[in-house]
Amino acid sequence: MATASAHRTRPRVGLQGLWPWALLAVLFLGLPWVFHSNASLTVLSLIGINIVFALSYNMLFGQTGLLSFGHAVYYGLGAYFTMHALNGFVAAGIAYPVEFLPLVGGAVGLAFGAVLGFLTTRRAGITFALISLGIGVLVASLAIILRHFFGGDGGLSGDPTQGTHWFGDTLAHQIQVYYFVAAWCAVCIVAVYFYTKTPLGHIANAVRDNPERAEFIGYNPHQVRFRVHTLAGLFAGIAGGMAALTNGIVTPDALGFVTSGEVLMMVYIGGAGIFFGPIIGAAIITFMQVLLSNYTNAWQLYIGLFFVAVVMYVPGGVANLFKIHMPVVRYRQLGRLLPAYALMLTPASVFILDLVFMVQMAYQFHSSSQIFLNQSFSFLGIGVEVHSGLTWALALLILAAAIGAGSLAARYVNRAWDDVAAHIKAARGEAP
Amino acid sequence: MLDNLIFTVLNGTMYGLLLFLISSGLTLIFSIMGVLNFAQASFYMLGAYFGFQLMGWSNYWVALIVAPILAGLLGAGVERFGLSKVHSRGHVAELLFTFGLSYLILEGVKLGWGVSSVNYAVPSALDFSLFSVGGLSYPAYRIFMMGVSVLVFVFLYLFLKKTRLGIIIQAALTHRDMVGMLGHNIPRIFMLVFGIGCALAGIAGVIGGNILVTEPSMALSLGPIIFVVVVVGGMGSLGGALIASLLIGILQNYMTNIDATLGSVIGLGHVQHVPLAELLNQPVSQLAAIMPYFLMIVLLLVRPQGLMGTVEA
Repeated sequence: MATASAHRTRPRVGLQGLWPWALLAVLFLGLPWVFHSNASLTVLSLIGINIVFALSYNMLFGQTGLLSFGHAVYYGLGAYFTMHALNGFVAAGIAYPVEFLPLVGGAVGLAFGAVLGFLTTRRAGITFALISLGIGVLVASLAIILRHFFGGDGGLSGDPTQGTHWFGDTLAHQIQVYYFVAAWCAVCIVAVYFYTKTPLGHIANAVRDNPERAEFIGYNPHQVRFRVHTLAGLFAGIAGGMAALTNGIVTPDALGFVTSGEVLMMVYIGGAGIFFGPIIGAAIITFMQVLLSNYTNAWQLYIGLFFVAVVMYVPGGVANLFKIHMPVVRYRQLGRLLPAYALMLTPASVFILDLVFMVQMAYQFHSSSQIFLNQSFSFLGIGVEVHSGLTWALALLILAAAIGAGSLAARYVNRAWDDVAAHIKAARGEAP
Repeated sequence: MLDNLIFTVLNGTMYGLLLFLISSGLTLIFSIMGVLNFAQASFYMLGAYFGFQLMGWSNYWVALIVAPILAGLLGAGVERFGLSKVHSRGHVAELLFTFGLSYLILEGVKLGWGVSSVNYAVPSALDFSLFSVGGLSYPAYRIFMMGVSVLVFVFLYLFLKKTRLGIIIQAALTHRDMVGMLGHNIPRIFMLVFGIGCALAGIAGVIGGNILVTEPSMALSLGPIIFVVVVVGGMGSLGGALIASLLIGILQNYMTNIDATLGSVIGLGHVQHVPLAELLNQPVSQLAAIMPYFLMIVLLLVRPQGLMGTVEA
């Protein structure tokens, strides 16, 4: 360690490195001024909770290469213990401030992250993924059996407005809940960021990239994975505690596989390779969930399609899209890309619209044959007959045309990118 | 007592063979392509739904043949137009693709057949009692299921060992690049293997979907057990998967027959005021569903590489 730090040159922290933090601070403080209805504050609070959960997940996935299918265990247990602590403190009259109850969730997440992590982190790679899934299912099943603690299917509820509050009459109004979530979220973002700069954070990256070499320079990969897993449990537990106090109820769903899968999707869609990726992903997916579930029963299908599309065509997630365009903007080459993107826009939007149209039509077809509703529905103001073969044929034809036009446009985009990459290389003075 | 034991072993073997049908497909895909097909249990579900649909349109025997073929063709199509596109980005990307696929298949099934279970019945030609021991009769269909499973394994074995294509697939298992250099089309072999793996799960769906329940949650309830099977057996080991499948199948069926509580079985009687008292006061039969996961944990402590697995590099 001593020799390593002697050679390390500390990166200068200039103002240009601070802009994401400034942007985040402005967003956190400013958002409730723009979106001040109770409904939008609820969504923002949900996003804040999921940001902490997603960052915790990315400590494993993006930074240590551990793909977990059971991370909701630590989130859910954190939530349950926080709720029990709230009810227990209120009943016993202990003056523990409610605002700091997520610390209970964090401690529980840390403890379970250590105990269960001892088992799961014995293996890496795909075996770890399967073991984490098995442990996740086990804990979720136990939660159903142990009704006394977990409250069965109905879950466990409590009133966060009860008990001692240090910051006035908090958690009674949505705006107070928002600031409670925002404060914890900000603390966790900073903490996880500084964790990535610690020796453990760095060696975790080494274990991800090449466990054998990490072992040769004296680090036990199992130990490193175990420690990271324990710390990730801490932050997942805090997120769970925040969720318990925000919702006032915890159900066994919080521990389940679906919750684990959702946080994986958030992190992957946002971008696991970049620190801010999970934050973007948590915001996008939470927003999509809330918005789409208002309009359609097929919202899970759309999120699934979105995820598969990102896996196939946007490696590195949404954050990576920003990252690869940074040098393009810096070398003033964006103008070369925009016409190609504009060309792509038409087939892409036609494709998406047509796909949405077909999915909605299929849902309408299904429900109309089940409960004899009317067989036509309206899409973008156009009445559509869902039982007509002509409608389906037309939709398929449009889909095929969009795919054809899209692949032609994709060729154009690729050519523009090659052009831009060559220009940037030349500007940097590299050999083409 | 003896008749109970016979039934437990028969039912356990039947369930174990069903698990092995699905997990052998998973293992085949994993050992040749390195891909863990997260959607394996989803193809089992598709097999059951296809079987149900085809049985409604024609009869069970057509369904038995056609439904697995459809599941296999769908799997091959998914590999050709989706999975192979992410192949260059490594196994995690491939695993995540199949994870997304399981999501889409689940939503597709809900879209096509609704959110509640469908009435997929045992064919009447096989719906009779084959024999009875000690006054308890045993359904013929369960013996038929075992027969079909064994037949499939015999065919799979002969295919892999005796046919030219099977030998090429086996060669691709250990010397993928060399097989490619000898002029065989590796992407097409991958497509074929993925299709066969999905078809195996499809067969399990057709023959198992009617005695278990055919509903949208069936993939999610069986999938984790399949993964436990491959972890316990050792990743990539067909023999290990067989042992683990039968072990879990028989143990689970044995447990469902025990009405005594866990506490009394391990000699504690009815307990109160201790942590996890509720768990100890559960009848053992209620705990059969979570037994595979306990088995996995115990095995991880004793033998982390699995029963027949090799030590990870």
